[in-house]
Parts: sequence; C-alpha cells; structure tokens
Amino acid sequence: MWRLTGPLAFNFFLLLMLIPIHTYADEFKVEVGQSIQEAVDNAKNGDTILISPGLYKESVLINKEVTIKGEGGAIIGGGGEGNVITVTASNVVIDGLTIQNSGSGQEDSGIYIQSADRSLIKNNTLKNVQNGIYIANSNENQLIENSITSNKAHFSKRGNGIHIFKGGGHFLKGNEIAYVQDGIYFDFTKGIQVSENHVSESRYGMHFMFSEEISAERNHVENNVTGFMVMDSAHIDFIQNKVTDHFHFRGYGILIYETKNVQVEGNEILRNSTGLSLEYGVDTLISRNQIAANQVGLEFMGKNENNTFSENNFIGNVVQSKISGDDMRLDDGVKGNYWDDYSSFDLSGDGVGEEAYKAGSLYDRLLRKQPYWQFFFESPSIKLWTKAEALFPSFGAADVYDARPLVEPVIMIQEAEQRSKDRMIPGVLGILFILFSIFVIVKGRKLR
Amino acid sequence: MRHIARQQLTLMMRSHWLAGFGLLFSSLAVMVAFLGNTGGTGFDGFNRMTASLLNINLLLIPLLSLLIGSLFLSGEKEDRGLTLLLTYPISPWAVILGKYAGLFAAVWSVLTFGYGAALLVIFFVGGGVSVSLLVLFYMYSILLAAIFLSLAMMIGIVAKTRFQALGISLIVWAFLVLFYEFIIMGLSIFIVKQLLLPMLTVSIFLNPVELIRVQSILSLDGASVFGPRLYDLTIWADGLIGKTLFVFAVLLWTILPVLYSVYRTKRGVEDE
Repeated sequence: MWRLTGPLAFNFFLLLMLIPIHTYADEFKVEVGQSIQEAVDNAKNGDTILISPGLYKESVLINKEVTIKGEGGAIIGGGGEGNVITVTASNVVIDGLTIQNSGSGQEDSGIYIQSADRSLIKNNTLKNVQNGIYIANSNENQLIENSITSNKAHFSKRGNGIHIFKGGGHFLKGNEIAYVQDGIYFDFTKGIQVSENHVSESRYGMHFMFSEEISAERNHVENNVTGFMVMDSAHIDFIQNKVTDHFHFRGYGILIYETKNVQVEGNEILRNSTGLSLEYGVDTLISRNQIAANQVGLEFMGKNENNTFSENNFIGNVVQSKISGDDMRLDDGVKGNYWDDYSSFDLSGDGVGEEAYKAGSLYDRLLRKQPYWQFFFESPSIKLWTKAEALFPSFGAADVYDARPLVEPVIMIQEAEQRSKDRMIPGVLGILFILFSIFVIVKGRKLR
Repeated sequence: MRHIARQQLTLMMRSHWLAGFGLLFSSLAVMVAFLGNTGGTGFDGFNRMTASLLNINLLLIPLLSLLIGSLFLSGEKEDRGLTLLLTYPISPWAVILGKYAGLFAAVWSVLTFGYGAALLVIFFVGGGVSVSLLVLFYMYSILLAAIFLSLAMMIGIVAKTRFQALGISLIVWAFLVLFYEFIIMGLSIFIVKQLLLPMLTVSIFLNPVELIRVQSILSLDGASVFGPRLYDLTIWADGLIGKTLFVFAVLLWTILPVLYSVYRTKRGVEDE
C-alpha cells in the first residue's frame, strides 16, 4: 500500500504546487471574433494569451509583461495605419503570429518596440509591413527565427526588415528577411550579436551607421544591391558570413567607409560587382577570406591606415584589385595572400613566392578603357598579349605589392568533410577513361 | 563505310603524329591539373586554373585535329591512295564519312587518354578540382574535335599537296584561335555602341572556337565572368534560344564541311 500511496501523494503535492501558479499566471484563449486588445487589457503581468487560428483585424498595444502565443494560422492584420503591434512593456513574448498590413509611414512597423527591454520575438511571419520590427531605445531584446518581407514596391519605398535605433545588447538569430529596404539597420546602437540571418532581394543586407561593437557571424546576404554597408562605425566583426551575388552596377559585397577596428575573417565573398571595398578604414584586420568570382575583388580608396591584410584567397576575380590613393601593403610581413594570377614560384619551400605580386595587370588597364573586352577574359589571344607584355618592363602600374604572396590557396576548413566523399570519383573515372582509350588504341592498331 | 573507317582508325593509330600529339596533350593536361589546383578552398567556379585548361583545349585540339585530318587526307591524295579507293564501286559518301569516323574515333581515344591521365593525377594529388567540370570540358573537347576534323576533311580534299594542306591548316588555326579575337577587339573600338552587343553575339557563331569558349564559361555558371555590361548577352546565350542556337551552330559547323568534301569528291570523280 505504501508503495502506491507514495507516488499518489507526490502527484497530489505537485497539483497543489501548480494550482497557486495557475491562479497567479493565467492562460487564456482568444477566439476569432474576440479582441486581442481586450484580452491584453484584462490581463496582468505574467499572463499568457493564446490566439486561435483566424484573422484578427486590429492594432494591438502591449503595455504589460504578457506572453502572446499564436496557434498555427493566427493572423493579426492592421488596418493599414500605424503599427500592427506596439510593445511598451518589458519581458514581452510574441511567438508564432503572422503579422501584416502596417501603415506606410516612415516608422510604421509590424512590431514596434518602444523603450522595452528583454522581449522575445520569435517564429513570427511579418508581411506587407513598412518596417518589420522596429526597436527604439530598448535593450537586450531577442529576435529569433522571424520571417520578414515588406511591401511590393521599389526598395526606396519600403522600410527596413529590422531597424534598431539607439539602445543595444540585442540578440538576432536565424531571421529570414527579403524584399525590404535594408535587411537589418543598426542606427546608433551598441553591443549586438547577429548570427545566422539570411537577407536577400533588398537594398543593403545590413546597414551599420554610427554603431559600435557589433558582431555578425554566419549570416548569408545575397542578391541585394550591397551586402554589408558600414559607415562611421567602430568595432564591427564579420566572421564566416557568406556575401554573394551582388551584381548591381554600384553594388558591393562589403563596403567599409570611415570606420575603425573592423575585423573581416573567414567570409566567403563571391560573385559581387566589387567584393570588398575599403575607404578611409582604420585598424582593420582582413584575413582568411575567400574572395572569388567578383568583378573587382578588392578595392581601396582614399587613405586607409594601419590595416592588416593576409591569408585571403583571390580566385577568378576579373580584376583582382583596384587600388587608388595611398600606397598600401598587401601582406602582414610574414604571410601575404593567394592570388590565382600570380605566376612566380616558391623556391625555398616556405609556401611564399620569391617574387612580389604586383597588383594591376595589363588586362586590368585595358578593361578600364574598353569594358566590353571583358568578353575575352582569359581567352587565348588575351593570354598571349599579357604574356608578351610581361616580358617587357611594364609601364605606369600602381605601386602596390604583396611582398609575401602565397603559392597555395589557404584551405578553408568548412568544406572539408564534404570533399572526402567524392575523392574516389576522379580515380574511378580516370581509370575508366584510360582503359577505354587503351582498348581503342590497341584494338585499332591491328587490322582484324 | 565501316571497313574504310576501320582502316582509317588503324592508319591513325599507327601514325606517330597522333601519338606525339596525344602525349603533348596529356602531359599539358596533367601539368595544369597538378599545378593549378585550387582545391580545398571551397570555390569551384570559373577561375584561372579552369581558364588554363580551357585554353589548352582551345589551342591544341583545333591544331591537332586540323593537322592530322588534313595531312592524312591530302597525303592519301598525293600518294594516289584515295584515287584508287574511289575507283572501287563505293559511293563518295561512304569514303568521306568512313574516313571522318575513323579520324574521329582516333582523336577521341587520345582525348580520353589525356583526360583520364589528368583525372588520375587529381586523384593521387588529392586536389579538389571538381570532376563535373572536367567531364564537362571533356564533352566540349570532343565537340571541338568533331568540328575541326570536319574542317580538316575539307582542307585535305581542297589542298593539292601535303604542304599546301599544312599551310592552310596553320593559317586557319591561327586565324580562328588567335587573330579572330584581335580583329573583333579592334572592331569593337570603332563600332557604334548600339551595335556592339549584336556584333559580339554574331562573332560567337562565326567562329567555332569562340562558340565552345563562350559555352564552356557559361555552363560553368561563370555568367559573371563577362561582366555587367554583357549581362544581356549572357542571359540570352544561357537561355533556351541561346542553347538551341549553340547546338544548331555546332551541328552546322560539323556537317557543312563534310558535305562540301563529299561534293568535291563527287566532282573530282566525275572530272577524272
């Protein structure tokens, strides 16, 4: 008997424990036809409001510490004026809602957080809103796995996906942002962690203005006008991001302007008009990036001081580097970068070529005059021409050198495990090819 | 026709020309695969290593096909072997097509050997050159060989002696591979801006080397290689119309010279 009553008593005890919490933090449900605002008005701090599936046409002001949780298919549609949800209390949770139709004023948003801290906004879908989530003068909010799109208009008429104005300490992770003006706009903010977000089809992927201590890791920005736009900021870290396909005529992968202490490390910068551009950048560290298939790999303009630039791979950029302004070193004194158009050799076996890599080839200069000649990129005739030119002392080239060019590309670890799997294919295929040709050759030699 | 093709293949396989070229091509392909290997970086689009490999194809394969094809045919003509063959009751179609098939099989096997060697080197070095890329280039090399062997048949039939065939082959090769682009570049300076894109587009189809070069780059997802100014051309050439025209152009370049050779042989038979 005792054995049975034991668990029973325990369960009873648990129930007793739970009941007071229930009365303390209520959980109630809003059905279609009822008002969410009314539910918020009737709630007290700590309550949870569950929203049943359906369309709720209203704007909601959340001024208490409540949790709003949408069951799949709960849609809140503003009337096309002002914000859809305005949050003015701290510790609010908004989870699993679809939020649409904000006004079109400059700050009108799907979710507007005004002077509120430690909110958690997750798994929401925001569409047809001017700005997605606007956070003003708030601290330590978390935005996780939201999906944001703006109006169907030209990007100059749209708002930003996530706009952060003043305050700081936020955490942004896994948000999916497309068709907005700027994916994430950092405006006078400080201390923000941004990781694994995906921004596409917008003006700028991320836009940093007068902001500090922002760390962007493993984000993917693609098909925008410019990937990362950094101006007048300091202490910005870009680590292992993918910056791809910014084909716009004035588009950049990463553009850094008048900014101090930027770290760009381990990024993949592929297929942009200009991969990485630095203008009046001070104390930047650029290393171990993959800069490939861009129209211009690297651009330096104006006065850039105290920059460290090493162990980057420059592969297949039409123009590897375009450097104007002051002379600059392209190596850190020990290691330089890998340039796939470098044509000298490493004789001493330390992995560093014996001759300096000189930026700017004949072809680069030709392209500036005749941009259409890019049609003949690396073609036999152009190859012949540049090779012939290399035999004679060159004229009028820029004085930018990489004194320690690497002869082997720097290996990026990320892709390692995928490669080992297809290692056998070239071997098998090669043997098949050779066997086939030898069979034909041997059989062919004998007439019957 | 089958017997002629078989005999031609045997003749080719026993020739030192082909063996020499095969060795040259294989060693160059192996060297490019060995030296210019950008493996492990995770980037396998169009880069300078791919460009070098493509350039070897574009330089060597036309040269090899033109020389081997035209020299053999004109040589046979000079030695009266061809004339003898034509006195037999076989149609000129069978003779020309048979010779073409034999030549093609021989060159094909040599190319296969070169690519096989390059693949083996990649396997042993452990580089990350993408295999799909090599297979793609292999296909394009075969197309290139098919086109230029067809041109070689024509040159061989038209030329009176071996030396004439050699001269014509070299001129055709240098013009198509090297001078053609310089001429287009020169024209692009003088021509009106509006006509530039149409001119470049037409220039692709008038030269089989350009045809293969542009298509190789496009199919490597290297649309960005040609730059923003040629974006329209890239989109068009990579689209359905461009692809269809490409196939059509390759077929024309392959079939027309062979047809002309057959026509010349027929006429030659009637004349004698």
